[in-house]
Amino acid sequence: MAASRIDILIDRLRSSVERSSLILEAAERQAYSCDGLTSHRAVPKLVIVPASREELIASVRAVIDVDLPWVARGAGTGLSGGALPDEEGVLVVTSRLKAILEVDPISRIAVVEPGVVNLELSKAVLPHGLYFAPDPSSQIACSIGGNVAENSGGAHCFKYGFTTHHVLALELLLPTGELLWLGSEGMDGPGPDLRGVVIGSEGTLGIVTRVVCRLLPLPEARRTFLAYFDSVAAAAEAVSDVVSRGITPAAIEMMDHLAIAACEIATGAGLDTTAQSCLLLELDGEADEVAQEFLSVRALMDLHGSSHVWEAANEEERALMWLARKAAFAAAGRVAPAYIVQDGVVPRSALPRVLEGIGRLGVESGLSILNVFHAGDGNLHPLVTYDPSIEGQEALAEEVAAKILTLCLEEGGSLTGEHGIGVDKVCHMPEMFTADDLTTFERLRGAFDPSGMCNRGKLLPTPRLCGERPGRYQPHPLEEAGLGERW
Amino acid sequence: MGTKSQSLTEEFDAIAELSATCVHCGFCLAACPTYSVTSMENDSPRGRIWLLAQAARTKEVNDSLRLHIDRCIGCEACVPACPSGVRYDDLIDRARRVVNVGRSKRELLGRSVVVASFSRAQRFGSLVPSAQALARGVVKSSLLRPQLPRLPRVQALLEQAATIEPQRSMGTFTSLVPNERARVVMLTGCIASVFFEEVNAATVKVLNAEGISVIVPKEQGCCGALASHAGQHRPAQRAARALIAALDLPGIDAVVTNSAGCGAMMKDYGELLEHEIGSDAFSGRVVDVMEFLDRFKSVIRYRPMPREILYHEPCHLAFAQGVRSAGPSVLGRIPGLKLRLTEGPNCCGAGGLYSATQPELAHQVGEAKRDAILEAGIDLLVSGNPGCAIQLNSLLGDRVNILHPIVLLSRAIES
Ligand SMILES: Cc1cc2nc3c(=O)[nH]c(=O)nc-3n(C[C@H](O)[C@H](O)[C@H](O)COP(=O)(O)OP(=O)(O)OC[C@H]3O[C@@H](n4cnc5c(N)ncnc54)[C@H](O)[C@@H]3O)c2cc1C
Ligand code: SF4
Ligand code: SF4
Repeated sequence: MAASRIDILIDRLRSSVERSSLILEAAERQAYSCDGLTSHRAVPKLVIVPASREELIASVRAVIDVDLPWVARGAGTGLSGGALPDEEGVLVVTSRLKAILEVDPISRIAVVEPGVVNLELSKAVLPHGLYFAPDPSSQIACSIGGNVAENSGGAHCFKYGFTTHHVLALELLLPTGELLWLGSEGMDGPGPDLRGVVIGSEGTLGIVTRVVCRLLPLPEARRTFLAYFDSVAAAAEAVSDVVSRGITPAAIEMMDHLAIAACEIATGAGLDTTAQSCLLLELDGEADEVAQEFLSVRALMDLHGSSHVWEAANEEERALMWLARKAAFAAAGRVAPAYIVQDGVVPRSALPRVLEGIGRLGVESGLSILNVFHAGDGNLHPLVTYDPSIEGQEALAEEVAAKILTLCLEEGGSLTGEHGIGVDKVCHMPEMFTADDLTTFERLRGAFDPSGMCNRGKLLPTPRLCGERPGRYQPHPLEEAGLGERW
Repeated sequence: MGTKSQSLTEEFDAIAELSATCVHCGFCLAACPTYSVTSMENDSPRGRIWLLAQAARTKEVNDSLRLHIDRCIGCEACVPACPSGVRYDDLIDRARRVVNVGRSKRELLGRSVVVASFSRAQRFGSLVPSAQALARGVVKSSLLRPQLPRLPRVQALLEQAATIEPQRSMGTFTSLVPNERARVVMLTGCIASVFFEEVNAATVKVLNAEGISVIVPKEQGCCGALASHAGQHRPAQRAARALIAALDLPGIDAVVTNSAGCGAMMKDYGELLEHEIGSDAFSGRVVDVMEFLDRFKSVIRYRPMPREILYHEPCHLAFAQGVRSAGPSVLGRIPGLKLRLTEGPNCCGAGGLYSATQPELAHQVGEAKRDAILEAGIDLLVSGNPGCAIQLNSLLGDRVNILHPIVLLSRAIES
């Protein structure tokens, strides 16, 4: 059945898009079988890489026409399997749509295509003294469309917020084939904020075809430094103290011993690998204000027993520090062949306790867990490392990762800070939301996508998906509660 | 046959292990020149690694893999870009060998003719016209038709070569200086010695001016890079052994080269020759001329050159050899000279024979580079690799002057 619909689709697409926009070869489709969450893989029946916005719209409409499931993909750096293809359907990749259509330095906005790489936008507007604030560690690779879909944050979101605070409007191709603009070029448009609904919806409400980004002026002054500590707890307490005194650093990032070591191996930035933990702090704003904050923060670091501090003497040193920090996830590949990165959020006050709990899970399971995270907003990124070639380790790692999430939830935290639910955490949704909440989400989704073909199986739990994890059976919580069954 | 399949199994095992270190983060995408122009996953390092891992799992080489390995320039920009430490340099060497298995005889033969015509240019006559004639012959031969659908591209390269004053190869040459600070042997390079004799003369002049004696043995062949890029293991090994025999003279401190591509290859001889005796020691003595000069406190007085120039980092110097600061640091000895790097992916698309075997993609990559260079609005560019110089020259015509950094240095020496 599906196969023949695919054939009809391919036939139709041949006349409406460039030949090079279609990837038909099985081996070539394979390369798209996962995003940054490599433990989940599926090969789509067809990959479309449209050469233009017109091709994108025409081809997605063609897919909708033949009623096949489809998934959008940007750069495939997602960490929750959001861009995991549908085995029976089509993957639509925005990587060729990388034009910056307009930059207006006066109103400080840029209109971009969804495939524009995050960092490329900041580079392009730098001559105007502007930048795009959301800066996920993956910014060298990830697309703005992906940022919108995941409502991505970054090291600087503690002060500057997430993608949703920096996207004024977007053009969306609905799963019904309609094209519409949501939001407005001002900060406060009329009507319900549907733009806000789409941002963070993980590609389940349609495909974003153009984005109006808000740009910020570069700060007048910046000071960046690393403070080393003898324990993770001391660093965590220092963070709480800084924030409780009303200081809002542009970034407070924390790394534990293993993470420091991995980043240093990867980048040779000059980190002190003997330290148990370190904080990467950045203060920015007006020169006077920054100078004053710097003194207070330095004093607090000393108070909490920071052993020593490395302040960036110039832009190159600052770049090195960030290079090291942003390499963290991938650098985990230096110490183990694979890892699962978690994305829990906990109240800052609970940080020391949760970190201790994670440490315990590491010891019990025998798996190394690296900790690197946005400490300012309590967004944890424990990296549970494992070796997939050792039988059972992948499952063990998944189990440990799941326990970490439970730990976060028990502390009143959240399942995800910025990486999204995707397929990875979909089965945990009922732990955080009630059945009523989930039904409401379902209805919202249905309003955008009545046929349920757009990124199906992601974000919201379905008994089918949660019961049918490839390889291992994991009973879905709804099943366990007798509310659902496998089908 | 038995040993062949055995070695194939070994290659697959090594590929499986090497590719397992990729965590699929995508950090390498921005550095890759082919991904930058096509934006296709299979033209990215991450995609190629995936294809390779797949092949290693199934022990099968399919046309898609072959295509995308052939489309890789081998610039190695993805290696330093990778936080996870994936050794793509090692992977691509193996991949190139693996994809030759099962390639049609006709295609294989065509590829080796191209390699031979370039790498023997010197031995066959030392003159550009003969190299050109040979290459033209190759191009015309029906054998190559399927591989070189775009003749104009190769012809452009050859015509380009012809516009550069044809000069005779250097021959035996020893230039000793009194109270020498070091003594080196110099590689003349097969393409360089034919197309860019000024580069070799300048190398000797600058080294001598620094108090370094230079020996240039007459019989030198190709370093084997061209064969190696074409996945021809044995011919590459043979070339390496011959060159070691020619250059590994007693009493020398270093083997100096002014060709980034040859330098990268010779530094890899240990690996290529499976660490047979002498190979690692030889590789250890190889240095790029800029790298070597950077080790000495300069005694040269340079004339001021108050102007801005573009500095092109050859991929084979920056990524394959990890020599990055030496060029700018040595050029910085010329008073008033300011260097600027171009934006965007680094590679110009030359990649040894890449522009001949993948004309279309090489051209696209080249165009992106050309635009970035023109955008900078500077009319003088230096590049420490003859292959890049040929490619850039044909892309830029007379809009931008292209020199080897050593030539700029030699011209700036106060007489
Ligand atoms: C090393 C590393 C570090 C990271 N650090 C951070 C970090 O600091 N902060 C952070 O927030 N994330 C981080 N991430 C996660 C990831 O980079 C972000 O989620 C990013 O926004 C994904 O962008 P992408 O283009 O790769 O999207 P993809 O992975 O391709 O897709 C992600 C989701 O977006 C959807 N999507 C993509 N394009 C569109 C579109 N045009 N319209 C609608 N839906 C679309 C997909 O369907 C999918 O659900 C990191 C990832 C890695 C590998
Ligand atoms: S060697 Fe160069 S062309 Fe090949 S994958 Fe790496 S970056 Fe791309
Ligand atoms: S940067 Fe390294 S680990 Fe990341 S995708 Fe590229 S090769 Fe793989």
